[in-house]
Amino acid sequence: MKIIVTGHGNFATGIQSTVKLLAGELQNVEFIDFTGDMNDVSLNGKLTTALADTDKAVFFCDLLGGTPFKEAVKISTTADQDIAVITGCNVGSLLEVGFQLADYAGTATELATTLVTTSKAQTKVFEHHAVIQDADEDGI
Amino acid sequence: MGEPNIVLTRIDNRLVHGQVGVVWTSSAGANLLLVANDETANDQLQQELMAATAETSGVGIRFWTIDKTVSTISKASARQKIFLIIRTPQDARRLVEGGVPIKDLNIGNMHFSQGKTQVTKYTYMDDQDKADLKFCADHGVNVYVQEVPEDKKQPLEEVI
Repeated sequence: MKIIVTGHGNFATGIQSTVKLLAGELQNVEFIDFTGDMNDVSLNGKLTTALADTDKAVFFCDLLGGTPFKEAVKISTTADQDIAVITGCNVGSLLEVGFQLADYAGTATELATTLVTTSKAQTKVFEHHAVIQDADEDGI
Repeated sequence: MGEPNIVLTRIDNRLVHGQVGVVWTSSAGANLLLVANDETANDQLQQELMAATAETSGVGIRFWTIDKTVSTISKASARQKIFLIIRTPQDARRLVEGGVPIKDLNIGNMHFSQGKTQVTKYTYMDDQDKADLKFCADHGVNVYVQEVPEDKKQPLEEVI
């Protein structure tokens, strides 16, 4: 399983710099920028190349309806691999699954759903409340 | 009760923060964060801030003093995969002296403070730190420096 992060400008390599600081180099995650000197065709080529070494992949896109998203969806409809496309997810969700990709047993859609669920859980207003630290019945 | 299943122990000045809460918990396969630190055990705000990441990723969290950790950790059940997080080599030594079965001790961040010299990129130590870490190593603990999971582990004897 592979995650391919792609977005406008340096969205992808910006997230890459965050991931590198927090987790190091993540295997099975690739970062592809869509910069001002590129067009939809050249981006499509890069995204397609990134799929060459995997049978399952999730495209992690910055913006619903943007060019990286559109190209990812186009590829997903024609490629032989199992592919899902997500938008609007955060770096926390990426970090949470980043170490489980090499031996990920589920489908691309299952991983995509996990990324969306985790992103939603981490998108929040901080509110003060007592910390719950109840011991389990047969543990600590 | 058998031996507590401590999957990882990490020294990090920041205790639980974004990186430890998400990245290390996930890579270690832990389902319970145990913060063993005397100040934090009595600091509500620190606990709230550290609990935030644990709550969203669905793992449990406990804030115990070093003494309570020594006296109570053996009550853990086998399915509790414990990620033990401490702040200093002194606390690591107290746990080892108290008989807590730590197998692997990951040295993460040790900030600079007066009298400490740089040992690796993110770790500063004084003689007492080194002595306490050596004590742990001499008592069978695998002690190594590793900032992030994808970094190579640097064994203690190679850095001090």
